[in-house]
Amino acid sequence: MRRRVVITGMGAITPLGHSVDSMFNAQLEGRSGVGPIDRFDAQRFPTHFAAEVKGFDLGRFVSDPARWEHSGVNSQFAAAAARQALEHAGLLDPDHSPADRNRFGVYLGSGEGVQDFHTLLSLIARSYIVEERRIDAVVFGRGGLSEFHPQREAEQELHTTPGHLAAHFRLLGPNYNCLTACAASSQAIGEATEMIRHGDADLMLAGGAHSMIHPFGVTGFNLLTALSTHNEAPAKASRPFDLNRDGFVLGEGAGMLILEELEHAKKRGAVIHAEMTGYGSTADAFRVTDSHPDGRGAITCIGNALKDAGVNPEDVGYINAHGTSTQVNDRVESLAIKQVFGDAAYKTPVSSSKSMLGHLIAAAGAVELITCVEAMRRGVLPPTINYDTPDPGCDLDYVPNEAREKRAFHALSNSFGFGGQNVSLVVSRFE
Amino acid sequence: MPTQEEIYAKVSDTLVEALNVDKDEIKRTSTLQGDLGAESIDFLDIVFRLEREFGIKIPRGELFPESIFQGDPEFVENGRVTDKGLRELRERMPFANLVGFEKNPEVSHLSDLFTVDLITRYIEGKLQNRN
Amino acid sequence: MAAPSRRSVITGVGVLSPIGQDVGAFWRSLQDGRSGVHSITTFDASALPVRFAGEIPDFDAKEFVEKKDRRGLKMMARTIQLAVAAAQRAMEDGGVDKTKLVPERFGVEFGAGLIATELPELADACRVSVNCQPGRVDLEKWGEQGLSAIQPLWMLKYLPNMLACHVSILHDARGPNNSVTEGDAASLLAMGEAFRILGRDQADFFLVGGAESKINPLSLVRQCLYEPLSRRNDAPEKACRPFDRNRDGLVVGEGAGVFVLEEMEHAKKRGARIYAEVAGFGAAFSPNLQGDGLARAIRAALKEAGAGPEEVDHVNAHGLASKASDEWEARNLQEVFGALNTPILAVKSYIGNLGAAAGSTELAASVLALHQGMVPATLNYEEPDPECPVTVATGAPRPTERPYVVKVGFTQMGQCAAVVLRKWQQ
Repeated sequence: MRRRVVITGMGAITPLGHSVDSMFNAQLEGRSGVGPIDRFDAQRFPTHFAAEVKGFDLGRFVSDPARWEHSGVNSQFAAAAARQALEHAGLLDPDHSPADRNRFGVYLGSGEGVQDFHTLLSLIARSYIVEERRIDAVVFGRGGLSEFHPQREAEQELHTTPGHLAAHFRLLGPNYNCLTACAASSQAIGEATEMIRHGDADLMLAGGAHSMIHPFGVTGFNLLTALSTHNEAPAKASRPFDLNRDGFVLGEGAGMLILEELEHAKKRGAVIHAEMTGYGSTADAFRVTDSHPDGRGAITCIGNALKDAGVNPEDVGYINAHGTSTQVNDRVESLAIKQVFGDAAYKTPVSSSKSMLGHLIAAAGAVELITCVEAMRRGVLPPTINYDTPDPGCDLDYVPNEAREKRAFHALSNSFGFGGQNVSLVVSRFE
Repeated sequence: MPTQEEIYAKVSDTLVEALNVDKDEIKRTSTLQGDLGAESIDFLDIVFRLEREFGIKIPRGELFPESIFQGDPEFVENGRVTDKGLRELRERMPFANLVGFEKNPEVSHLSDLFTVDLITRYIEGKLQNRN
Repeated sequence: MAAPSRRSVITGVGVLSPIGQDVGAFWRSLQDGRSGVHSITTFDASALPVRFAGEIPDFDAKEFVEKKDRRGLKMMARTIQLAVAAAQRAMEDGGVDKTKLVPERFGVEFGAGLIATELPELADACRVSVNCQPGRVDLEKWGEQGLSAIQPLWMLKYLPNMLACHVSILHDARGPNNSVTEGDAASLLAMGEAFRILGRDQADFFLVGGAESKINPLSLVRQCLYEPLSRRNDAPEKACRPFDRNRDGLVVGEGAGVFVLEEMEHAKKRGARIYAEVAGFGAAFSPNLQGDGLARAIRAALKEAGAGPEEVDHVNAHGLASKASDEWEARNLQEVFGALNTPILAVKSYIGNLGAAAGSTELAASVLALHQGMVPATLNYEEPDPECPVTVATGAPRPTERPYVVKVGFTQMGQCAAVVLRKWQQ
């Protein structure tokens, strides 16, 4: 009998609020968190809107915000969401907590820090020998040594976010970070679940944090023409499964969960919000950005997660889709769901939180899994907003525009990343 | 104004670099996806390189229109492009030779329109308009 | 902690390193005590306080990729090319017939780090976007003119998940796929995870390892700012001195180490040559080089392997060669191995610190050692440091005497990993 894993705490920092409750309530109201970019002057970028986290103050969440002074917002969001999750689980204080901190690990799917755009770019311009189309490494080196801020540079490294959380909250078990693009935090939650099942830890802080709403991030996605260009109506831009979708909308934030071995949770009298029952991870092994047209990787992935959970498709009461609002993803995801679910596909409500939150990239999966847990707990499913014109290629029940009351016992959350990594998670009501 | 032969030669060179194929693999009729192995992001790369090579600006979606039939469900029926869809196609891609496609307008065959010849004709038109 | 009923063995090794671009050359350099640390040749480093590194000379990714797949190389930064090359070498070394593998049971997992942009790619865009304010860029100009001067696929070349992504595409590996981004501990953590996935029957075959190249102007400037680098510019080969009293910091290196790791019955069925078994894994956190995290990770891994410290032939150390790091490591090793005088091998003395590739590339030395029955020595260990109570093996290679090897790796922030290898016996 394998060890069972339950969710005993959750926290979120999102464009729709700085707590799980505010984020979920806003989704039930069908509110959009998308608007013009405030963080920097993006007016002349082809796409200049996003779903930003507004009014965030780290000092409200942690006792020593100075630790994160030179960190990117990704790390700061992570700290705030982790603090919420630990408090929610009653595990915040290491000195008065009924948990062995050596058996309490961290697994994040957290993004990179934020590059010092202005310093780097003006330095490149100064070092550029135009005629030879090359960089003068001496000019660049000298300038870099005097102009870059050492800690700010160090904080961009990918292991700093889980490192800060482990040090600050004294989580001394296994520590991991994975960065599998848009699937990252789902993969982190899946692997963290496996670590508890195997006995590598009794508790894991799992989730993700990311922000690519900075000049480099917005540049990169604009160049790939992956973003919606509905600049005239940002709140209408993210329209998953709608015929007139034209790309995804960047979001940012963090979602964190406390995963705990069932007997451990029972023994300390923890409130159990749901059970982690299924995890599937596959690769398309097809192309760098194109999904496989038949949804080959996604089909195996969803199938593996359901099998791991021991749940039949007709017993899944809700699917929180990857639903990015790109032409290809939404069609292929719908196709994959139909392949795995058969006739049950048409009876299973599917919605995309990205219609409201935008795409939180590495953090997306964690926030969407939290959405699944809340939907089951409260008996109401969040809608897909901006769903106006059906697409013949996407013909499932997308919970259009209005939340719906429904008791679900099992929920499926999909995350498919650039590069072909697919992750599906199943959460179930705890019985 | 370069001749069509000269344009074709430069287009071929661009594709050699963008797709890492040998020059002798490239023919006028070669399809970018089927014959030369391009995937969708390669189209972005090809446009970028053509702009530099010919000193022109290629607006997004002009040479390689994305999701042409999005926006009107009547453009496609049972996997085939309707007359209305074909009219749209002619309007969006006046530089394309649609004779073959019109005989059997399966949506899945659409990618066969994107040939080396199509790019050459597009560039030729672009350069003519500039003069 | 129950040992998995399914056992995992290493059947292929691919190494791209400053001391050899294949397993044979790598092993010969280790036998001969030849360092790969030299003055930097790929760019003019004269403005930097550190002007040497463990470089891979004349690396050409085209040699490692079939012609039909070369189109992908333009989307790969050097780090990703190194990963692809080492994966190819591992498959060749393992004598793997790809057509006989089940794609859905074939996983890929890499340790990866932050990949710096190649500066010339942004140079035209920067030039049109500077304004009169020093240190600032005009974002309006950048948006309007700068963007169209950048290669549209720019970002894809630098995403850390692209190591595993490209490898999965090239080898049609459709099973579990992950990219662990935990600094210098990344590739050992990736190995541990792949070992777990094989153990729980979600794959039969893995390409697992790490790759990293930080020898470029931007990455090296950054490391000069925040890493304790050795400044021994006058004697690069002597610069990396793990546990030596006169060590003065770490040395930057580049490379990739990738293994074919497969379930034992699967390996036997295809008649594979087995180098060694991965017998145990442990991970822990120890904030800022304080506490016993590394010792806890080692104990967990040994326990899983069912081995005692006295059965360990040698410890393949992290051996960063910075003052504080080696002291802390030595104390943690002493906590586990006490007075056993277990010999220490520190591969960084040959190649420098390969970052995300460090753990797996260094581990390759011990995999080969167990297989060949000979352990290489550590370079540049001349004067013992009383603050580092460990026995570092120097001089000539010596025969192996015991069946287990412990490999450790960690970050300066505190992420720790330990892998235990068992000598393969029929």
